[in-house]
Amino acid sequence: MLKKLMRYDFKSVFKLWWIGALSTFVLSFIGGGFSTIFYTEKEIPVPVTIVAVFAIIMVYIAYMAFGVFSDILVYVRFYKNFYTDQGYLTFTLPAKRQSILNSKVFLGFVTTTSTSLVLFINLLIVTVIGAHKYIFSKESLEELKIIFEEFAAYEYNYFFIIFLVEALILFGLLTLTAMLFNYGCISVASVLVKKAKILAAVGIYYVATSILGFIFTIFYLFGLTSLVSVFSSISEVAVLGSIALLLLIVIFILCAACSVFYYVNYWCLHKKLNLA
Amino acid sequence: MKKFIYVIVTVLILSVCLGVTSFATSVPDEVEINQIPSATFSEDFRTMYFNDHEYYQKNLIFFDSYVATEYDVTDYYVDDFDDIMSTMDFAIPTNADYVLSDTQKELVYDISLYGTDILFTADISYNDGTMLSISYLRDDYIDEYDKFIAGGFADLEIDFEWPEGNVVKTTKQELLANEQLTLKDYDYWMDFDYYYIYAHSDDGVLTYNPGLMLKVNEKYYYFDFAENKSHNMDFFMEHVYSEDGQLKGILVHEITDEALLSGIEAAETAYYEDDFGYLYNDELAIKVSYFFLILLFGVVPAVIFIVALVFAIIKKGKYRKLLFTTAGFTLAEIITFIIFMIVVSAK
Repeated sequence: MLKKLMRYDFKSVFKLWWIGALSTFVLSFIGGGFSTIFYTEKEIPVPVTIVAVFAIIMVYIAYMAFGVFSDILVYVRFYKNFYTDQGYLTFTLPAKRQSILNSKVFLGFVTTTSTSLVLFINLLIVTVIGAHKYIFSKESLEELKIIFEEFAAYEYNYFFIIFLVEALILFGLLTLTAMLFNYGCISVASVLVKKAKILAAVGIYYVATSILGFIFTIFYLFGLTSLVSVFSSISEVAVLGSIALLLLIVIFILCAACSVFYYVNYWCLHKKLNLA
Repeated sequence: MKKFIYVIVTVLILSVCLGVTSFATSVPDEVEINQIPSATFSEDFRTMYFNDHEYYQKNLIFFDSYVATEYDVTDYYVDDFDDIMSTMDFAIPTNADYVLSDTQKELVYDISLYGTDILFTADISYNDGTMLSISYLRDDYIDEYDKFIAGGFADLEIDFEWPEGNVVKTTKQELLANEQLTLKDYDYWMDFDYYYIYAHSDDGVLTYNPGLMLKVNEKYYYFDFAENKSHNMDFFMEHVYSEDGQLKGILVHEITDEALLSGIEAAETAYYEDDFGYLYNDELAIKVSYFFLILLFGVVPAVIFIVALVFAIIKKGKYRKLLFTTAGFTLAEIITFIIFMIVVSAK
């Protein structure tokens, strides 16, 4: 049943999402073309420069709009399916609650990751087209070669492979946590209030992020001192190992946070199941 | 009644307007308030007259300043003027106005005049496109300046800059008396520190920077600007950072006097402790920091772990698995944190 649920969810979101993705992809070539003028040694007339700057700004605005658009698609689908009149139909489906929620979680994760990937490729296109003269110049390739050689010669280079793997896991977990957190805000608001649910969800989001932001600011201000002090007094390999362990700690924290947020969503769905 | 109120309001508005107008007319114009007397110059620009004082052209040696050797269009300028200004009395007026004679007007089309009430610099732009910068010192400071520069700088301060007070007193004679040697660029360009050495006049108005103290491979050296035939930092920096193997290097004097060395080391340590103590050696700061680390990565997850575990045991049904998962992740986090603490405390 999960597969069927996912198929419908993906169809619903991706029938609009691909338009945004394709548009920004095409715009990237235009943005890249305009940005070449910033890397040329020729003198460019001022009106052309102004047009180019505006064009590039528009391209970046389109990127941001695409990011927001894909988020809206996911959260609107979540909200409509669960907490509006459609919810009556959703919960009459011959599927477990967990499957319904899992489908939405998977949809959110794939959409957000795909959006990030598309935006990354778009930025790469703009940069490569704009600065192709420098990127593919002999000097740049030589410098790249030197960096790789230095990296290969570095005694503890394997740590950077560990960091890379941890960073990728962190990226995935951050996406998942943020999404479950946002779902959680919508769910809690829908359970707590009867009118103006979206407004309540936004309010809960701001309150929760403010509290979390405060905690992390305090930690950032006071908590990192000992780390700097410790790192300045231990060996290089111990520093690298400690950083790897720290990243692992953050990974576990995010895993636990995901579980908690999932629990909150699940509990809210259970509450909301009584639709009478 | 209505009419009466209208009359009152009208009178009030009118009186306010009149009051504002009379106040505005009583305030003198901006020009009047900040009126700056104009400067005039002797025909050869060697003397400036300003605010009841005469200012004489002077080859000044301040901070990183260039020492002018001749009164010449190309060879005379004071470097790093902002630094000079920062040490001077800011009883300004800056950008003072000037008046030129008819003969001067034929030669000069603009003068930018900056200064304090003691020192002025005039950037003179000539009609032929050349430019000349001249420094002027106030008449009553001319003798004092000469005495100060010629006085052998009895008291030099090796300045660790921030926070104030981390200085070591010495003399130029003492520094120059040490063994002289040449530091080639490869000896020091990779890793060195340098600190300014200053001499201040008694009233603190005049400041001179005769050289630097270098720290290379844990040894201390004195670098004298005049001895290296340089009079500013530019020369030093060029030698330090140049990759040209043909450079001859710089002349230095290794500081060997034990009393002076221990003073330098003590001031340097104090400087690092005062400046970076919060990050390096402040025990209280580190304890507070550990408290937050343990709170965030140890106590909070432990509480979540206990709560999740207790509920997982008590509750039955579909939540159980989820609560056990949460407890499992927090337990894994706590174990990793303990390993982390062991690694960082092993040193």
